[in-house]
Amino acid sequence: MNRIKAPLQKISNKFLSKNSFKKLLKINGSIAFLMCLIMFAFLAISVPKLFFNPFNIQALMFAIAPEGIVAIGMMILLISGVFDLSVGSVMAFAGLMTAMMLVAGLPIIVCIIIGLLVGVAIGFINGLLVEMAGINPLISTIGTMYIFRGATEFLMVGRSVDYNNFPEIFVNFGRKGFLGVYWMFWILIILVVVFTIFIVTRPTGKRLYFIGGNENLAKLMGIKKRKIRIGAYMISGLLAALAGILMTAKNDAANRYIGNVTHMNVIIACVIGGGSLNGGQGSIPGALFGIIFLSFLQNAFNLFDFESSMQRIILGFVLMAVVSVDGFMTLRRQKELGRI
Amino acid sequence: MEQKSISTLNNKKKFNWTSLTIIILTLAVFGFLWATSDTFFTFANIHSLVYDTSFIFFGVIGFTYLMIMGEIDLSVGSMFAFSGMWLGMLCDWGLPFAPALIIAIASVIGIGAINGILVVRFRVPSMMITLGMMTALAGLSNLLSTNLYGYYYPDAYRAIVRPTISIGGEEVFVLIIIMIVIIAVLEFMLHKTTIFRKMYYVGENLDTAKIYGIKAAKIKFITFIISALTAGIGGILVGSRVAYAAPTIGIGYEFQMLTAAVLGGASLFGGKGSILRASIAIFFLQLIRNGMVIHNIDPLLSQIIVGIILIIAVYLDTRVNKATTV
Repeated sequence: MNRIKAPLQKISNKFLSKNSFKKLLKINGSIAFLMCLIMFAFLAISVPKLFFNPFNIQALMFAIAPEGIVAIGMMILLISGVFDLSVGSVMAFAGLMTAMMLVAGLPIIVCIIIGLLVGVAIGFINGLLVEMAGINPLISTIGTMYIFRGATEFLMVGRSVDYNNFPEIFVNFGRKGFLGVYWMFWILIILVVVFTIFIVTRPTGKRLYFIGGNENLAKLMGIKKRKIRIGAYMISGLLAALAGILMTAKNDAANRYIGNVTHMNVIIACVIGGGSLNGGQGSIPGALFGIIFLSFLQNAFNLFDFESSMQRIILGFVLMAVVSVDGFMTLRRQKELGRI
Repeated sequence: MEQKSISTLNNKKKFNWTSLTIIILTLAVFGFLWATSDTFFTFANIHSLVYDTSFIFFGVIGFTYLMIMGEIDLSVGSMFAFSGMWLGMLCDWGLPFAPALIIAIASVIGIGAINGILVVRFRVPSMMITLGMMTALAGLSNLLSTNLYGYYYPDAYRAIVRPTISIGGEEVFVLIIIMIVIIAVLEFMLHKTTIFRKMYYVGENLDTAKIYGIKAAKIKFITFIISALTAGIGGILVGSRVAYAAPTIGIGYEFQMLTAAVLGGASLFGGKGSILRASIAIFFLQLIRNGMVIHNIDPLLSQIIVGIILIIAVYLDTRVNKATTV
């Protein structure tokens, strides 16, 4: 883990203090990792029987996998200084497209590819709107969020066709696993590893940080900002579509409510995991730890039989606290550097 | 560039045609609906349209002011749900209506102050802080609505939006009159008082505004309180109309308000925006929904249309502004 994080640390934090605990905290995503550990220890000690119950582990994997996959794409966008609110709508729309093709009787692999291509296309549209048309990412992705959520509802509500009863292989893809771990969780692990290695070792990965850190400087250095950001949006769309297809397979039905709150959860998880809306910070493992923390939190509330609304209240305050602490640290660092 | 500086020296503003976009759009849709439908231009229909507009209008006031200053408050939608239900809860606990109302308003102001202090003190993007507040308030109002299940608000609460006044033989809700008066007063104050001009200066260029001695942090803090307060008032009015704690109140309001503020000329970079045009934009969104019902178009398509309008409006806005500033 340290070998992967070391270059990130170099990029994002050049000014480390002498205190080693503070050093540890400044490694990107370590706060989320610590929070995960605390939640895990808390759950493992207080309710070991319920927590290590196979059904609970299963539920946790199903909760973590799709949002984790989406979070990878979101983190890449956040590093480069933009974000995407349309991921939830992409999940629903791509899932529905795959379901429609399956009901029409096309081969499974073709259906999945079509679903993924839909995601890539929506990501491309987002990228064009943000980079070519120059529309603020908040507005343009809210626009596409509206459009594709509306399109999903338009295609599903009040139609006589039910998009369910898919071929068994497709359903097993969402429900079965390998070595006791679900396919979707394997996919998540592979994607996290691949994208982490990509970002740490490839020049394009470093360019993402440069673009997020200082757009104009990156341009002067000759980095093709537009190309990279549009690519990042396309990856985000692709991953969201993949998550949507996996959810559709698991449910054995297209569902228009898929991803209703995903964009919020994922952004919150990424910010907890060290990302920043200002860009230039964050790491893929951080995003994963953020999602795992959220899932543990949800799990804790379920196991202790709390009302689910309590969970959102605490989540909101956790987000505000994390963001404020981050802001406070940045402010102090800038004061030390004499920028303020 | 030279011409521009000369024109500012002469203090003569060139008339900005883009500011009329939303008004022309609204008039066009209005005319279209009037021409193609018999049921549209009836007193009852127009009256209910304006009445619907008047609720979200309250939230839009604070929201637009924050956008003028280059900040954003995503918690307004949840605030709509929370404030109404919180007042209902206080009534359910047996408090008389007047103190309950005071406590509810005070809590709303407190929430706005928390948003404001965090954004101003720690210089965090307001979107993140208010996203957190939005989640927390949504959870709170969820909790309230499950606790208030089956409870109808007391008469004093339900009476707030009831009063009507007869104008020309027709009964008109007082709320509509209040809305029009507020719009007129705010628009007048915007042009005639320095307090509101300061907001634009802060939004346009924070550093310059500070050099000129404008207390930007204080103004921002107060505006966050105003934003929470106006949304809270709107929420209490909606609660008074719906009369019970419906869990669907306020869902998606923040995006509607954002759409309305942007259609009304506000920019996410601050320095622009107008209450009058934002209110017209809300009316415009209601018109579209109304028109789709009248013409038997699937109302599910309205989301798609609003999304497309939003993107086109902002695209045109960016193009026009780039042309004038670069």
